Amino acid sequence: MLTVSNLWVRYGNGSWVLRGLSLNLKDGEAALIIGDTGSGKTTLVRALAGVVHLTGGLAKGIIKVNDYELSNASPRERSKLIGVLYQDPAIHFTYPRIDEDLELTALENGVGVKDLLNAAGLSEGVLGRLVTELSMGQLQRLAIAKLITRGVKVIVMDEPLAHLDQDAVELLAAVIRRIKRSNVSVLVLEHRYENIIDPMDKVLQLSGGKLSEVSTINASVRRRYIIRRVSNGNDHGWLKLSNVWFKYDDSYVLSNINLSASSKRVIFIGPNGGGKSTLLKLIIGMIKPSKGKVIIDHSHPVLYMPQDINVVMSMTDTVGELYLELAKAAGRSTSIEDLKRELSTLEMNIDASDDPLHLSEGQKRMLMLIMAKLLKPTLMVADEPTSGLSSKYRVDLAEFINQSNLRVVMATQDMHFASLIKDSDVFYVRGQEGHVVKVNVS
Amino acid sequence: MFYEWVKPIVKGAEGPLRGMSIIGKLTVTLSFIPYLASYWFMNPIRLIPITVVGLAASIAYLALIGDLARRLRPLMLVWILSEFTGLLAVLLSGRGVGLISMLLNVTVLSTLILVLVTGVVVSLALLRLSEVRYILSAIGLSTLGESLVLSLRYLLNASISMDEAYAMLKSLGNVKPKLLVNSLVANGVRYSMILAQYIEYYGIPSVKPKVTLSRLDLIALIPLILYVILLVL
Repeated sequence: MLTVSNLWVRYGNGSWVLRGLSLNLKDGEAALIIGDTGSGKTTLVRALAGVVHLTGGLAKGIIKVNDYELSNASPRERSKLIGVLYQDPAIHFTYPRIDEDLELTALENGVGVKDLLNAAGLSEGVLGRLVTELSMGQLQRLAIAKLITRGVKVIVMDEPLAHLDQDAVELLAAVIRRIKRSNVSVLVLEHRYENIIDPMDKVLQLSGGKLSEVSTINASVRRRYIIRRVSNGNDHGWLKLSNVWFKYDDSYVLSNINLSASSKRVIFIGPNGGGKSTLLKLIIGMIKPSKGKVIIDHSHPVLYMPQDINVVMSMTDTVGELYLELAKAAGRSTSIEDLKRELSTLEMNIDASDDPLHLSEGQKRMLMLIMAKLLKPTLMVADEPTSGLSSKYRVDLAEFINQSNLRVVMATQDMHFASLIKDSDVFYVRGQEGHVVKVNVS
Repeated sequence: MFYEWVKPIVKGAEGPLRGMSIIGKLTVTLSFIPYLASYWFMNPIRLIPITVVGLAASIAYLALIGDLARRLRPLMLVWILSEFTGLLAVLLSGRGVGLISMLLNVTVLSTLILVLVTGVVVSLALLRLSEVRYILSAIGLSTLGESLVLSLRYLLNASISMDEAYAMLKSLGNVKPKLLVNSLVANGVRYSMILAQYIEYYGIPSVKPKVTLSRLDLIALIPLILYVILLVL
């Protein structure tokens, strides 16, 4: 049983992010915490893990697991009671090789590597790879599998669906039901809650630093998306991949990929590890195909939004500087006033003097969207653009793309978002098998 | 670009040699030490076959552990650097040796250095990080072992982040080094903090490695046996 009473958390001398938050979770009970981008969900996770001090924060309040008070417990002691799934799944792998990390984890927890792979729904093919060679979705699946073998009393998942495909989401829902049956409590903090709501016993809204129970959300909001194959259309697209192969060491991630896109908006969907991010990297020229040709009709500037958005956010100390530097790199003449105007229109509480790295994941992505609006690139390439975005901002992002004249290539797991984009060429990709088909998502 | 350089350092060995025991893995380096040591007590005529055999054995090891092309790149840098340093040292010492003799001496020495360094690279690739950590911990350097694991993990992440930052700026049209360096430093600090949170919470998984000798360990003695044969001939 998890009991949180009167929890207050703040960073430095800033205002309190959590303001007297309280929460009760019985044994075997599952709760979903929803909340806008930047509402403090990750802060709550840090407080439960007892690592707020590592980010310059201060936490006050009482956290108990089975009546055991955790205030004086070290993070390591807490980890025996509360298992935390962090937002960045790669962080769960301290050794660069996947096989070494899994073997040691398996030995520590008295299970086999195969058990971990089965729980993750992955094959042994991932074992010889480095952590950087698996997709975020594959890492997320393995991180969840590692977590459930730890034998803890409470499991906390910070945005577990961020990188998961539809199959893995179903798998996770089943895993949560199984965890509940073993009398372990589950706390899920998530934006994309539609498909995870079934196993939940209660839904809580985090707002103003406190939690309140939500009664209006029910299973009826759950959506299922239908993916229908459509005709491949003409052969004269602005983006064309002919007989493209790509391999990491000995194993091919993309085999004989052929596609042609003529719509302004191109979306890659498909299972975890299907090669979507690799396709984007080929398109921007970050990597070269082992065989075949990538033909793309565009000129500079191209705005690339990597999956790890922090790579861009760490380039300058302030949001304003970032805008000016990127504008300079793109050869665009700009003024900081344009940025300030856009920021105020968005109502996301971002200031030009803010440190971009200190923004929430959702704010960072929306900032990139503003950059795209102001810098007017000839093409925007975005890897998982909705990761960390609340439902409202996902709709805003889709509207922006629909209304703009911008050419966009995106890879996403977010079917809801994919279904919102109009006049697009959507490709379902299973790269390893050479399977790329044009589809319609509804 | 950056990732391609870092990857062979962290990737480790592929293939059957990974089945060696921790002792066999360490013996790989030890078996190449006599090759380098010979330089100081043998004449050039004896040294040439020793150098050639040592080089062949070390390259064979590299081929066996996989990723040969990627691993050769940094090793060639080691060779060029030691050749250049050796030549510079001889020239500055003002010794009146002929050009051919000087080139031969320096080339033999730098090649023998390369043979030993290759042995170290092979040993490190064969050893798993958890084994290196265990060895360091056994000799009282556990903090160093943990730092090594974290450094390599950080290095891997930093290299791929640098590639992404470079690709992002290049796509925009202009790669400004200042932005790249900022990204490396600030994102590196951020990543280290998250990694620190994780480690503080869960720790680094560890387990005592297997020390049971394997038949494969005998392979580590091959360079040594070849050396003895050359010595006897």
